[in-house]
Amino acid sequence: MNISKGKFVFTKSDTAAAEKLSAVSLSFWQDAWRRLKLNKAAMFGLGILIIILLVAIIAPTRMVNQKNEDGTVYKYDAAPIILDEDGVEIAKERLAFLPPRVPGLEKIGIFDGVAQIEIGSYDLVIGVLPKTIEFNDLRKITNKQALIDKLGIPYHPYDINFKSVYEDENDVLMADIIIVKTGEEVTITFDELSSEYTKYQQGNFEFVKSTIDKYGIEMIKIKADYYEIKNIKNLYFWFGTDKLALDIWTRVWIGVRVSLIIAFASLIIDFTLGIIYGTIAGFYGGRMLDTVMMRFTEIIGSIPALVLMIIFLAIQDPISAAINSISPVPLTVPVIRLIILILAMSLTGWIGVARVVRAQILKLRDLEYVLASRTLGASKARLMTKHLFPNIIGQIVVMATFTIPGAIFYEAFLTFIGLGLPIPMASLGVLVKDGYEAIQTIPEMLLIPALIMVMLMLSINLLANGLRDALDPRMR
Amino acid sequence: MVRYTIQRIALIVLTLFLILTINFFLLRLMPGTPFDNPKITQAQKELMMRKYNLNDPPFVQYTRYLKGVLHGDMGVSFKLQDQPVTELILSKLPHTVKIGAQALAFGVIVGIIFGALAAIYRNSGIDHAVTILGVLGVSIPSFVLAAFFQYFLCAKLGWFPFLYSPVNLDKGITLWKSFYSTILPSFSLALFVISSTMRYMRSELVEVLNSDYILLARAKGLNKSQVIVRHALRNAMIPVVTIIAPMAIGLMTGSLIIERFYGVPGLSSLMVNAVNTNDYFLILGVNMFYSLLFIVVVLIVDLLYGIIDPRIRLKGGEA
Amino acid sequence: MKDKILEVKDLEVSFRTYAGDVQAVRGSTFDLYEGETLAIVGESGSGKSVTVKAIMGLLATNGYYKNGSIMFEGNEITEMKERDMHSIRGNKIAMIFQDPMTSLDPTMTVGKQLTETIKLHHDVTKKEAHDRAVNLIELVEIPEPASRMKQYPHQFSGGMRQRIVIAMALACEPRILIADEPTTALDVTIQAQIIELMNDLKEKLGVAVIFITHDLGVVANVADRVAVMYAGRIVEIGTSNEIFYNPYHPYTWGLMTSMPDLETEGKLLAIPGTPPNLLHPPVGDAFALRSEYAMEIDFEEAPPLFKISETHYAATWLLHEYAPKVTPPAIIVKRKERFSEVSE
Repeated sequence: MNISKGKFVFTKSDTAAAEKLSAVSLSFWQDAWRRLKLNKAAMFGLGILIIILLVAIIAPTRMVNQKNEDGTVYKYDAAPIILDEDGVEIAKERLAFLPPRVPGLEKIGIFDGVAQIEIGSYDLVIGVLPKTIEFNDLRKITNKQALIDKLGIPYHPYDINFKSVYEDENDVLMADIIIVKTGEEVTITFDELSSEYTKYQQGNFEFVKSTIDKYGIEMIKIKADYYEIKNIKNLYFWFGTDKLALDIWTRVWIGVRVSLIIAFASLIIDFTLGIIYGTIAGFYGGRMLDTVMMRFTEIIGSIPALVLMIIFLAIQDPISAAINSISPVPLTVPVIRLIILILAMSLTGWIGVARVVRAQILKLRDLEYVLASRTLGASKARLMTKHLFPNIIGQIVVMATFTIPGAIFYEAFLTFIGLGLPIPMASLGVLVKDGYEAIQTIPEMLLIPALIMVMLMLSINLLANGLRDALDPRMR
Repeated sequence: MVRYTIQRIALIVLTLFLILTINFFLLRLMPGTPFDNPKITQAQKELMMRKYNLNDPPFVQYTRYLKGVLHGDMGVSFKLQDQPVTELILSKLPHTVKIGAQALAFGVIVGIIFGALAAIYRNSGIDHAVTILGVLGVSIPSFVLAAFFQYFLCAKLGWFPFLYSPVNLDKGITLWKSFYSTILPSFSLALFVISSTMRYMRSELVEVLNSDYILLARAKGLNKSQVIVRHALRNAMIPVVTIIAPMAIGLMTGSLIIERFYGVPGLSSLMVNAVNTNDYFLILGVNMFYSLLFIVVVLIVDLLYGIIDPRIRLKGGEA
Repeated sequence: MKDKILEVKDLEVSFRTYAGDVQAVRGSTFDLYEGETLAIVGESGSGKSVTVKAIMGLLATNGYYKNGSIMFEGNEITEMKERDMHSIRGNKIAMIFQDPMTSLDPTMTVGKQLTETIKLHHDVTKKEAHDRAVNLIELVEIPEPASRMKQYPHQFSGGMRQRIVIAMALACEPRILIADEPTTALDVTIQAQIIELMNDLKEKLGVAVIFITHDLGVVANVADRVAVMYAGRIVEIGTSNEIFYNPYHPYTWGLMTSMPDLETEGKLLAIPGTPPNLLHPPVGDAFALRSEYAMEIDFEEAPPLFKISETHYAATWLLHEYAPKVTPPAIIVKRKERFSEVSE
């Protein structure tokens, strides 16, 4: 092995350099952020969350395409006031229960204002008769012939069954029907077949299927273009409207805001209470005060949250009165209901927080560096702020983030069983409840708020997962 | 062990007693009376109040109620034609318990299996799928799932019945048919249980697999599956058992919605109606039962915990 | 002359991490002779644990054998299949770990954990296994062995648990016992007991021991030979006397001078700096950066093991014929004076 002798000279070993730390020193939060960024799922969740929040802030301020045209400001909890070409206000009934319709998307067949519904043949052919004494009489089953004479149509809907309804080569709407008694098949224009009072005409519906149920009643599935039927083809309601003609797009985003506010409010109450309680208990750990405090939480905790909540909501009137009396400003009913809801949701959440905080404090209290600090003369307050809190904050942040989706769900749950916010307030829970009631006709009314809710919860859960991994000191 | 159980039961009785008392007196605060129907005249109202002894001083009513409870009489429902509360509850209870228990058992077992698989085959396809399912499961509320099921599986595909039907041989509803109708409701509730259990099991098992005694077991010459089955699983399951109790609460709240969706004649409908109509005894009764249910679950979990973890078991029995 | 039962040559073990490959062991060579105790000393992160885990085939999933060979009973361990390792682990080579509080399965009785090992490697009936287990408990000097069999680990103190662990390791009378810092987590008095126990058992059963520790006091009590590891390499190896009284590597000097004995006068010398990052290990002698005896060549090429005696080798360029003469620290000089007495 040929090594030159010259290599065997002493070099100055740089002990100072040896003592230097070889990696860049990051603060706790910088390091956590760096690790969070690496977690793709968490970043995805964060992204979705930001998008939802942005839309929730911007979107409801201007309802798309619709403002109150008589000059008043559109509010989410009232039906929009829209004027037709003659300057007359459009009636609420016309605006209610509209399917979603988005310009552009309707061309591809989704969100086109069309809902698939099932109606009786009577509704298709005859429709809603005027409420006069004459017609009331004609409605009777014995007066079938008189009725069709009066309306000028060839057949009574109960005497025929539909085979199909379609447009022929000349774009005329034709109906293939079967006469029940004779079995004869007839082709006739839909116009001739139907009365003047039916709202279904050429151009605003599409025949899908006709079925006859076990009682012999014919039910016809059609796709109805509601906007056409109600003659408001110039309007677009992006997410449709509900039974009170309230615009769902606006309500969904307001709902997101409200649900998040509720979730946060109950979170803040729970965590503040929990942290204070837990810190005190932990600091006096092992002594009388701590024991008493923990027994108390055990007792409260062993009562299922549901039970406590039921009671709370049952006595909400006296509580509302109490709230009203201590509030400096007179509060409206919706606000009081909101406060009650938030309080109901906060009833037992603080217990878990208190326990965790107390456990952390007990653990950290005896850790060496706390002892070191105390030996150096640090006061109790300084100990708490500079040493204990930063360690606990990480865990608290993670816990808080995890409880938000639960709170959102909880609010929806309470509303769903009737113990939450009333209509016409908007929260995700209210919207889901309304949507559920219309699930047969307009499934989007449930699906859209449900989907937004799921996305919200999902994104927060992903973010919370990422936060927990990023803040976990063991993984550093 | 025996002494431990007795202690726990005593605590339960105490807690129930406390709940009952708190419930009772809080309800006094409820505004109005059960008879605020405008159709009733004042005189009739007075009569009703007297009939149910609602004009007596609260403490007297309380002791009377207490005595009744000890004899199994929890008062009667005002709104529901004076039916005894106990009967009402007992007729509805089995349905709620059936679906809830199914959901819990199914969810926990499936959750443990999947969680274990995810931990053993860490960072593989299975693990990722399980993680995704885990997050989805706690992000999709049970009613969304229920609505989803009803729309697709019942309405569109017709694979399952919309509603739950209890066993009724007269109407041709056999045991199997009734069970079949509980599948969707139980599953809607179970998804949350599966997801929570799965994630917890996975993280616990991963931690266990990294521990010293597992390494030692491998150093003894055990192969991987022997190590997992004989040593890892048992240790990982211990903390998992502790989350069953809080999940039981989630199931109780969830079942309220599921019962609505699937038409289950359970406790939830009783409860909601009772609250809305100020039906004191009914509210009290339902609350007591919810509490009892929950406490029983907690007791079972604690006993289970004691069985699996010898450290708890022996500490309880040692002097 | 005793037989060689384990031969490790130029062993290199690395771990794949998201930041790159960490080279935990970068070329270790040593042999183990029948019935002797070889102590491996070094700081945390020097590669001691990884080396012995590599011998057992218990590397973590992201670890791999980069180079080198481990020969045991004619088998090349770095190439053995997992299922073949099962008959070696616990049977021919056994291992015990540092923390007795976490080494035993808390949910299984001690007796069951013992019989498990026995039944795994030998075809015996339940009763035979049970009796053997009782004997083992007796062997490690725990009273009332029969009733102890049914107890759980948490019912034993730390020192007793370590004895159980030792009993488990010796259950199948292995040829090699690897002890990874077995006394580090114990009180000093218990430490002494355990060390005495291990020495006794070694005598009785004729098992060779690889004893990992960072505590030189323990080394002095148990070791026949000592290997000093630094940054993944063995930098000096020799008999216990040679290492303590006649060391040649600057790192060994550093170790010896940072520990007081009854004759120490003056200041203790601490080794400045910290061990290198094994993600990007330095070229050359890894200790050069912290050594005041560093030469230019130390930064260019890693030194091979230079022979000092039949049993004593050190990997430092200071032993090269071109190297200038250096005076070790005063403490070392004093020790060297006593070397001739000690090793007569």
